[in-house]
Amino acid sequence: MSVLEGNYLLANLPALMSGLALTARITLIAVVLGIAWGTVLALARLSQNRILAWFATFYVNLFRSVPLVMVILWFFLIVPQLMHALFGNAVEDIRFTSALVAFSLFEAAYYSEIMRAGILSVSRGQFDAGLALGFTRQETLRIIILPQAFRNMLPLLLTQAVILFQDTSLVYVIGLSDFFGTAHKLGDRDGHLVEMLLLAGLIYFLISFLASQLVARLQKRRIR
Amino acid sequence: MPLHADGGTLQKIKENKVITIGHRESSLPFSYYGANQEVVGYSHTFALKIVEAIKSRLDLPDLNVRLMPVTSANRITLVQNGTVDMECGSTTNNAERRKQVAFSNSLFVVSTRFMTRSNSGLLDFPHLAGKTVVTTAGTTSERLLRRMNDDKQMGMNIISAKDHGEAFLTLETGRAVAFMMDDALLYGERAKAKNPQDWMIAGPPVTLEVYACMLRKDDPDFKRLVNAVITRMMLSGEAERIYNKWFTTPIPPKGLNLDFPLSEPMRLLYEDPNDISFDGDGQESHSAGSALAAGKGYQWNWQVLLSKTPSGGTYLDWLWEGLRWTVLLSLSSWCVALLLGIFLGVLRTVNSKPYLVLFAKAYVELFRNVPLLVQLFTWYFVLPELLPDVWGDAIKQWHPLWQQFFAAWLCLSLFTAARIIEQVRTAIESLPPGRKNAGLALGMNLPQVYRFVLLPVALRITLPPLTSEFLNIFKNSAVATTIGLVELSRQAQQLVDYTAQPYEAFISVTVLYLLINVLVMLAMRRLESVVRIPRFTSGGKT
Repeated sequence: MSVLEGNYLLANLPALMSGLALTARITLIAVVLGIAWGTVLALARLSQNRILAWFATFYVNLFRSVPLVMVILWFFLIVPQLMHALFGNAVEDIRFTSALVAFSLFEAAYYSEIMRAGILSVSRGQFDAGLALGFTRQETLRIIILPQAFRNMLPLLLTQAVILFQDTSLVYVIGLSDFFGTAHKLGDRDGHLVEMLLLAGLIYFLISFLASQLVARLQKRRIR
Repeated sequence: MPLHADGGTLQKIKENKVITIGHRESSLPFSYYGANQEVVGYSHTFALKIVEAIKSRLDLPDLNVRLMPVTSANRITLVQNGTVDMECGSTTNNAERRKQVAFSNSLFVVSTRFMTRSNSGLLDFPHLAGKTVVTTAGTTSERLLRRMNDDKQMGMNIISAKDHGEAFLTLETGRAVAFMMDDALLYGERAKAKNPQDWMIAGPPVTLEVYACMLRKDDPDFKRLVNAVITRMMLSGEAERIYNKWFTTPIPPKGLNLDFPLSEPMRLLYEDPNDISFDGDGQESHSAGSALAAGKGYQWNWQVLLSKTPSGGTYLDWLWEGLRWTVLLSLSSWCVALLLGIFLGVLRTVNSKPYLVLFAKAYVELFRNVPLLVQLFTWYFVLPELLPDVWGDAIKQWHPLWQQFFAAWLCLSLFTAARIIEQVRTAIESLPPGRKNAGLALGMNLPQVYRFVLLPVALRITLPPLTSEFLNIFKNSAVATTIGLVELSRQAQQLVDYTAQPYEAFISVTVLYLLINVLVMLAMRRLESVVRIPRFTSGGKT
């Protein structure tokens, strides 16, 4: 294959690496923000406040019913408008920001389901015990329940992160040059589309496969 | 939402000390990426000159210039909503667009023609009757082509590619016999080919169009400045030097020569710079219906869904068409995924045959660890090239829609199957081993044990997770938008481009997805209650 000949890959390595860096940035930030917002949503859903619970349920169901592609396109439309309204015109790269917002809000719906299961997995008795020891409800949640919920769900949270890593390739629809976008663009420009697509697939596979093997290992050690 | 109610673009640039220029990624030689991913091109050179003029006008020598790549489907919206201050690429100035945005003096005059193989014998538009023709989505060539097809009943299959590069690839790989586009862009794409001599530009230049920089509406100050720069460059001969640099001498990234001599309309433009657009009046239209006129908020217009499309019918028909493709794609993929998933899921649990288990395992890992988008592109672009030539060529002869459908169907089926395998496996493994042994003790062989003892229970257990996979397949089908299948989310984007009413389009499509979701959920709940085994709880693993 001609891509493997000469210095083609070497010459384009910086572009590919910066694409990969962008993919990693979106993944990491969206995982952190998604888990944080997802935990809040999970707590809201389990709270006694009807309105909060209703809002969280609506939010989660809405985001889980709409394709990610549509969510990315939606936020590409909304975020620029919002940024103008909030910060005047001082806006960084809109596509990156809107992709981050889209992924964080979208993934939060999925993370909230995981965190909800995690919270429910901690026995009710612990909550009561916390109250009996004189902790407030918030303290009990923060100091006793959530750390355990988080630990119990760590493998699932990480698995979802691997899915998120793969899903970031969909920023293609707003023209952001992540790893896949860069590979596709280079291949398209230089007539190596077939090779570059296969190469991109291989890299994604290696990273995701390794990551999920690590998660599986973690899970096994947990069980033991 | 007023973007700049007081003062115009210049005021905005002055306040923020930043200007955002929209550029294209592969509109050779107007605006594209050069050898080191930097933006270059004929139109981009004008854009940079305009930026220089803005710097000196505002006395901001270190003005921050931000470059933002745009596509033909989002460029108008981005200029309207203020994300991009000026777009200089290969945007045609026409009456429809002047309702939404303003245009500078013309940069270039083009005519719509088509590219085909040098030996194809296709010389004029009537020769394309009954053939497959590719064009780029959201361009005026696309509209022209569709109108020509309808008016003259030519029976062409029309593929709308995402960008020019993809369109040329479609032509190059034999999926289409001709690529209809503005002539200058065709010369540009030809230069990218492995053997430019294999391709010729044909068809008489029927319609003249002009490319111009796109600006926000109702901002005469900014427009005057931009026009002054363009006029000065054309009259001083600088424009022609730029032309020669990009059209008659080798250009990056590969040092190819477009070999596209200055046309007569271009010579006239350089002698008398103007903004005549050859499509009726050359004046900026101030008619109502613009989505985001300066200083005004978003104008809702739900009736736009009932208005006529360029190809006849209403935009509602587009949504209906999108819905049909989404449902057809999802259901047909689901059938295959379910069968394949159950089959491989069973193999995955036959521990007496390690190679079968290994195969099923490898299948799952492969399809789970590659992004869906990469899988889709692989089936669409790579598969026909890797198959024996006879098959690959046969696929490319299909109707373009079916090629897209086939790739998306294959992709979703195989991807979803991998997920079903795991669920079937989990369900079977959750059954107590006693069941299997009891079946064997009764004299059944292993296939019989699976058929009569294990699967009837296991499949009922998998029903709830299968429901969520079934919902997923509808959502995942939206990925097919990237290869141009006109399913729901593609129609949303098309609607935005054609009507410039993004919120109406997106809300309609989102509601349709929600509707699908609710219907599927109700149907599956019904099914669950029908097949439930009374008093049977979960997997029985106690």
